[in-house]
Amino acid sequence: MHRVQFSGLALLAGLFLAACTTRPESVQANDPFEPLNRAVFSFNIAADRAVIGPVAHAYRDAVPSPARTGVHNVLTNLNQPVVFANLLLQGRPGDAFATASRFGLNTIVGVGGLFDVASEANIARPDTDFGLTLGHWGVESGPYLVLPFLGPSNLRDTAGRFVDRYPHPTYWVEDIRETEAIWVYRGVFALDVRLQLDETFASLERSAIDPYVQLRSVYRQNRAAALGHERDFEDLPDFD
Amino acid sequence: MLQFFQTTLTAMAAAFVLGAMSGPAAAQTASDAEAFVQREAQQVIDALQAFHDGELDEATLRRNFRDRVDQLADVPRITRFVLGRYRRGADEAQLEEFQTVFRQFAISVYEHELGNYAGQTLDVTGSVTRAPGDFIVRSTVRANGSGEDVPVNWRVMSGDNGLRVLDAEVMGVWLAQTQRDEITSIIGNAGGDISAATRALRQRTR
Repeated sequence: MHRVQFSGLALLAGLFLAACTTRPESVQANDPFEPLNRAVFSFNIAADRAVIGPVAHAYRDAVPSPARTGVHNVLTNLNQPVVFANLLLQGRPGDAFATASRFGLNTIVGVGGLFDVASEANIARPDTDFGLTLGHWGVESGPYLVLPFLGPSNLRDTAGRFVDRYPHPTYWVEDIRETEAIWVYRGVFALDVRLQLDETFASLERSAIDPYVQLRSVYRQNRAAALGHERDFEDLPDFD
Repeated sequence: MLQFFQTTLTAMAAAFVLGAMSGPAAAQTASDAEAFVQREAQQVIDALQAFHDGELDEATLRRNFRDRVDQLADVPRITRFVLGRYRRGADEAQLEEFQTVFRQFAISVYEHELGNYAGQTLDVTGSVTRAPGDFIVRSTVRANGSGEDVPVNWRVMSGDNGLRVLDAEVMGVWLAQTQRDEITSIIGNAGGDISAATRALRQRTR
């Protein structure tokens, strides 16, 4: 049994090593696994064209817009405890208080989060996650990764995704966590996310020279900005 | 994060279109850079609104866009920038061909976005002076009911012909920097051959 496990690990390590590249552009972009990442990216695009996109569009066509907005609001509201916990860990009590107020108001007055009354009351909507919390603590992003079905990430943010499951309400309730209900939740979540990304997919199609590199660049820049690294515009490149 | 993906590229393209038809300015101060973006953006919005209302046909709008792009954006400087380190020591003929094709690609991408205009307006909200003749102009693209307002920052620099836009940023993502990443990756994959990027751009322009 141990031998099988060891062989599996060795095979996995071998695959990673084989997928490594030392090309200067890949190294500079912190993407040593570029060949493997490109393969996963192509798989994600193919899966989207064949299944995920059509199912999401069927959901869009079958469910009226107000109902889809309600579903989106509920899913966003369910994530607020995750945002709250991370804001506290980042030492941002003011934003954490706003998030707690938002969660309370939308859950009670907004009927379980169906209606985003907090936005109408002009309560701020900070957004963060454990990947960014780690970044605030000084953890480097690590190599760029493309995750199957989930898309662009890096080592730090991938670890963050796992940690963010714990403060999420679906994890608190055993009847959800331990049953098929969690897969129903994940399915609806996936459909909602995919529809939110509809215009992004179209824009990638229209404007990218190399869609893989465009997404990698956009992800890297956006995460750096979310950490506040470029707020003062000091690190911008020269044009001459 | 996910909201970002939805809005970034379209907002960026829309913002660039709003700016891309602006006119020249000779002034070199931050307040003049602000006025440059605000004043010229308004002209573009007027043209897009006229097109939206059916008072201007698409062919005229596109022609105006092509005629005026150099009055806003410093295309030759952007072109040199997106080549990164590969512009040094490059063959002159290859460089010239790349410049022509990159220009066609950029124009075709933004022309596509012209039809997506849906009543947005632009308000300049401030500026930062990075260095003499190098400014960041902050603005908000107001959705006016067609989505969420999006903050957009403009890198405006002075050159031989006055102020010009060099780059635009939405939610931390800079357009020219992203294009540079794409182009240098293609050239790097081809062992430093600029014509690989020219071929890729030509293919994407079709």
